Amino acid sequence: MELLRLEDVSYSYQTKYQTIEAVKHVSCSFEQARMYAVVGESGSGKSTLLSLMAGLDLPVSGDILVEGKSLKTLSRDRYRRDIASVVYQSFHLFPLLTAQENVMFPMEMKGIRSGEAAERACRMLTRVGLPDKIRKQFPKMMSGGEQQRVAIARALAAEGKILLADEPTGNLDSENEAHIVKILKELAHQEGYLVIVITHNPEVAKAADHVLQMKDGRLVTGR
Amino acid sequence: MLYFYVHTGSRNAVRQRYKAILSMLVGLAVVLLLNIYTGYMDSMQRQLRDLPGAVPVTATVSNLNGSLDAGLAIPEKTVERIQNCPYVKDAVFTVQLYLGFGTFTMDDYEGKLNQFAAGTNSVQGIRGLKEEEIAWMDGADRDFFGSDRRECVVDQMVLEDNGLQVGDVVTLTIFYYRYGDYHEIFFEPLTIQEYQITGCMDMAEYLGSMPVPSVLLPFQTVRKEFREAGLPFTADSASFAVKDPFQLDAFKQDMKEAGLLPVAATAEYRYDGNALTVRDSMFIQVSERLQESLELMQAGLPLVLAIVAVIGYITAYLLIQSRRGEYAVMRSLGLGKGQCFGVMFLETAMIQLCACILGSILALAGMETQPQAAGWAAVIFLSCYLSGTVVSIWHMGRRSVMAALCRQD
Repeated sequence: MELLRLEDVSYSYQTKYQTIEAVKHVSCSFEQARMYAVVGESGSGKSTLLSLMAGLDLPVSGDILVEGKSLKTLSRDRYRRDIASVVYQSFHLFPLLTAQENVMFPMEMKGIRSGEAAERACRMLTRVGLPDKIRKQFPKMMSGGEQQRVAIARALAAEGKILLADEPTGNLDSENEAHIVKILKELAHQEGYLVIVITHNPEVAKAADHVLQMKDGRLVTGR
Repeated sequence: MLYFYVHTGSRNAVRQRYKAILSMLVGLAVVLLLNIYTGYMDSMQRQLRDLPGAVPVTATVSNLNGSLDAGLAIPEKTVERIQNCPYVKDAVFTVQLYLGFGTFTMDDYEGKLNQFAAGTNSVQGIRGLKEEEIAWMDGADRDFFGSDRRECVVDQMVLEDNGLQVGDVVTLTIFYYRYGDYHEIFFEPLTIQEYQITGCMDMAEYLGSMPVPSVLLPFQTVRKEFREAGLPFTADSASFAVKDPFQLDAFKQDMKEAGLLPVAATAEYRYDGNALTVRDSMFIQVSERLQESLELMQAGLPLVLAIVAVIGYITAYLLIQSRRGEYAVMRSLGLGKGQCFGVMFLETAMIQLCACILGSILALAGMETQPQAAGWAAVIFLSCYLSGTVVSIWHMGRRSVMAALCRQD
């Protein structure tokens, strides 16, 4: 079932000296319970495309449809809170919060009471394979792999339908990389998430159900 | 949602306690400095307000060349004008008289007209005499000075010499002073009346420039005697305080209209009480100095407020800008701009509110700051500091979330 559709999406931004066309006329659709990989060289526009799909910005032209509704007509804050979650290469955990509190944060934002949020956070952390002792640790005390799993757990805490990951294994060793890829695949195939991974790692791309290639802001091939 | 703001803000503040304490100390120092500033302004305003009491402006009627402030001929209309002037308070008048006990005539005065007397409306009219030195008859008191009854207070020695005592009724033959055109002084008969002695006094420490009065009469009684005798009344001296020294110009204008001129040292020596010496130089000097200082402080206040706002901005900027990543993550998790603002603002506000309360308590306890000044300092600090914080967060909110997250990657 189609969950996300990009219709002739273009995005450009102004620097001090020139206008950069980061994404040019991209059209594609993404289905639920599938894992997609968007590959391409640095500067090909992959991360910008992910940011647009995450609703962090709006396309200059074209449209992004979520379950058939234009993102322009939706509250983008609510879209990120309830539907699409993002996992980054640098994890972007809150440094002042423990692993459990990081996972609880999206739930607290929604007004879920602390007890219930803590219980659900524990489930999410277990789901991504983190031992109990990690829960009370702050990000700086954790390894990269652990931090990325906490970030995935936090994304799952939003209980949305779309998981966007920008180079999720970029800062990880091969063991952790394999683990994260496994989790992402399971989320797509077992839990019905639409997982879109931005990567230039061929191993990650190989694990995806579909691979989209970007070059100079354009979508050049797809499988 | 408020619980979320408070919970998140307080948790962040506790988790980065060293930064929070440092920020609070900066805030505390600013609150104390503001307390010094507003306290100083408040103190100057109070000094200015209390100045008329501390440095009263007094005035004395004199002759035109200023050489006499007693033994004058002050016309009754001038006396009335002073009494009714809205700018005048505590007016003290005297009138010099000469009298003798018993009844006698102009031809028969030698050896009998032997007591200097003064009519006054206040004990302050008799220099050196203190109210507690007057022993009143039962039922009599200081109201004596304001009455128009035929009563008198007599010197203790004179009472003894004449075999009199307090409570006796005596006949007084009263003469008044008349000033001639060529500096002569005449004694003229005023009246012969019975007066009750309602008190006695000790004039041993008399300091006045006129002869020691051994008999005091109420000022209004003397005026009445003149009126009944069909004689023009003149007062001998008049002095008073200016009710509101901040209205000196209006007061002086009123006195000028009453016929009281500024002293002219080169004027002819006369007994006419038609000039006014106003002792206002100290008041003017002090009030001008206070007003200048106050104006300077008030003029500097916007600058101080701007500095506080800048300190607030810089401190908040340094604290918050290091957390731009967190702000961007909060935004990417779906927290709206306003909500992110709420979390960060409340965190800073809670820290600075603590600094404000602590600073105000220290200022009230240790610096003897007035509660009102401390209140002002707290309001100024919080509004300026938090304005700086608002600008800082707003500035951060303008940046692209995408750019902030990508830069970190």
